[in-house]
Amino acid sequence: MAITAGVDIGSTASKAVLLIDREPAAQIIGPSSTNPKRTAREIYEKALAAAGVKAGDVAYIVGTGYGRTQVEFAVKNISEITCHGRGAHFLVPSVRTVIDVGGQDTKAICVDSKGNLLDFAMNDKCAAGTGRFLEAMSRSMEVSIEDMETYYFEEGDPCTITSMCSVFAESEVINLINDGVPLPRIMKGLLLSLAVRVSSLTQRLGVVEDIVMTGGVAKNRGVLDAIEKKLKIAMKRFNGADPQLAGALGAALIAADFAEGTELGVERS
Amino acid sequence: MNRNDIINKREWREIFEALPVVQGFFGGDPDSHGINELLRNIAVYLEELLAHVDDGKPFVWYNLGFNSELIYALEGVQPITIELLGALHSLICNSRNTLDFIDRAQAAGVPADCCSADKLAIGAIHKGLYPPPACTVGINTPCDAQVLSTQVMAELGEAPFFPIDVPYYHNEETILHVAGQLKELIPFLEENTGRKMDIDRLREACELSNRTAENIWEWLDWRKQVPLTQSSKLVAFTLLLQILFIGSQKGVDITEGLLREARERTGRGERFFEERVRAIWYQDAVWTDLQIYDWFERELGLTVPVDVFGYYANEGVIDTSTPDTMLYGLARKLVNCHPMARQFRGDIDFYVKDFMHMLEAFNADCCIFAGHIACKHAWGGIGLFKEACRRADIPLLVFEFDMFDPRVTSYEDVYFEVERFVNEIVWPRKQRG
Ligand SMILES: Nc1ncnc2c1ncn2[C@@H]1O[C@H](COP(=O)(O)OP(=O)(O)OP(=O)(O)O)[C@@H](O)[C@H]1O
Ligand code: SF4
Ligand SMILES: [Mg+2]
Repeated sequence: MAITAGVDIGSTASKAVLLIDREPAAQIIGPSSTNPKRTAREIYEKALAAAGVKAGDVAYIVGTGYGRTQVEFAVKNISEITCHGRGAHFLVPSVRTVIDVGGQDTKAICVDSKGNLLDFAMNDKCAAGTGRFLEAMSRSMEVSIEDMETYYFEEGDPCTITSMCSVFAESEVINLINDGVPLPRIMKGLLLSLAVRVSSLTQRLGVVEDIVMTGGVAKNRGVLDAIEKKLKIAMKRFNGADPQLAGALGAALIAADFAEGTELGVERS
Repeated sequence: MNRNDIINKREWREIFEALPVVQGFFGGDPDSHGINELLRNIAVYLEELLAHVDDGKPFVWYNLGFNSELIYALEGVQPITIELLGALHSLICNSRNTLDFIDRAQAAGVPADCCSADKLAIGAIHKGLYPPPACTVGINTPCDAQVLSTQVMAELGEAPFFPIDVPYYHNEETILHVAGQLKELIPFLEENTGRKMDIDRLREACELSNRTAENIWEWLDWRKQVPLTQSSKLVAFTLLLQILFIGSQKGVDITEGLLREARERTGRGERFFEERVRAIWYQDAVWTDLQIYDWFERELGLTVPVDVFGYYANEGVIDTSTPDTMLYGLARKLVNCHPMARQFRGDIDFYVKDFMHMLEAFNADCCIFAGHIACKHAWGGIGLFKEACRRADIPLLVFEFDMFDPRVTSYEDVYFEVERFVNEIVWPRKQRG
């Protein structure tokens, strides 16, 4: 019996997945903090407790995400690009393109039929097209992140949000609200503007089907719909699995490869 | 004016102080013939420059891409490429000075998004650092930034200016058009420098140029071997060689040093790092700090046998039978061989085809497009280039940086990009076979 773990310290959220013989035994999501070392340990301990596993029984741990070097107890750290590709491939084996929209950056990831990383493109310099953008808008519209999709799917034509920059988009949204434009119209406009960003990043890689979306923002079905509209391609869904955990899951799977000695090539200290 | 007027300028003094230190450093490795010859010849060149100032001999300024052979063909005339000081500071001295030149150019109104290679030239001219020219020669290819630097040279050089117009297209007419202008340039140079162009001396300069070109080819052949036995960063030096030393004994000496080093190290089967992955560096070198290539070798096992400007196309040989054949050969070299005019003038065909050739000849595993941020030419072709890499099934890393200005993308960020690409894409892929 091989127990392995993946710990994904993202810029916004921290995630841990524990696998027993490659089957999920525990999955934890919590906020990231200014002390990533402690966050990593806490989230990992929560996962151990949830699965009823002792730390000494875990054969291999891989750290990933923005704060991966802070996962002190990990044996290896591997970038979230590789891990999201791997996790998504595990959930949808036919996947070739993975779109990961997290709190701070957006990545398009291209994998082969075995889930190996082939290429990627990312936007890491600007909040437009990321979870942070949605969070800012959720504040100015006073709509929770979870409720955004509800408004998106209500009746109404999308209004045009011209600013890609989240700072300007925010004032645009406030103006629209003040002008009495109904929230569903604003929400549609917003999610479509995010989708423009994400889809053009994906197109830079050359879109190969099947496509899936990972990261916390993938929980918003409005965003999924808007991106599908922009790409004019239907994306595959995860059938119940949480897309936000794909990176940690991939890390735990790579940990299983290392534990079994089948991992090739990805060398990180 | 005498040599003290030069040496007393801080930007020159620092170079004169740094050079022996750097020479001492590399001299510690007696096998580094390439770098040692380069440094020795830079020292010889700089001493000649001072002696020329003392003797009141003429200087000719020109911008990157012009043939230095034509200046070496004039007895007692010293060539100065206007990028010299900025490049030297980046290479062996204090790159803070290079940034000062860039900032000075911007303060003088040059747009921030203009190429730093041209800004550093413009800044050095603005600071009045070069000995005044007898005349200046400017080529207007391949981009607006180059044109701007020739305009500054023409205005602030306060000397007669000869523009060479290089047409857009890659064809015979272009070569003939440039050769015709080189013919007109000769009386211009003679009149302004007061020196007669001796045809035998021109022939000698062309022959030295040919020997240098042949040495570069042979040296590049050694660099095709896997694993690489010489350090990656050497390929960046060939740019300085091509813009300043070609047509002189210095060019021959430097390339013979490189060759000897390659032969000896390969003969001994020497390798000072474990080569895992080799890349074609398909854009400007990281001039802000060439040590980054050592870091790539040591930490990632990544080697760079060749880069876009280190590759020397085979149109570089000059037929020395008659004055006209020599001018034709120089013109052909200028348009089809020199850095930038070959790759970034006209359509992107040479750029893509050269890459495909290098990929195969140098047994590369991947391509690193270190996109010099101002170079609209390279960026303009990125779509076609990506497409070509995709068809050839070759991993490609694309990132933005500035070859002379680490404020655009830091050294650490360049390293981060390359490390992730090598460790996560290229090396696992190579292992999978
Ligand atoms: N139900 C939801 N709908 C929309 N967005 C959500 C939802 N739940 C979480 N998010 C968003 O997901 C983001 C966090 O996702 P994730 O955990 O993938 O990011 P991360 O890994 O921390 O960031 P990064 O990968 O950029 O470093 C947050 O910005 C959050 O607002
Ligand atoms: S690198 Fe590009 S922008 Fe700079 S001078 Fe050369 S062609 Fe022009
Ligand atoms: Mg993430």
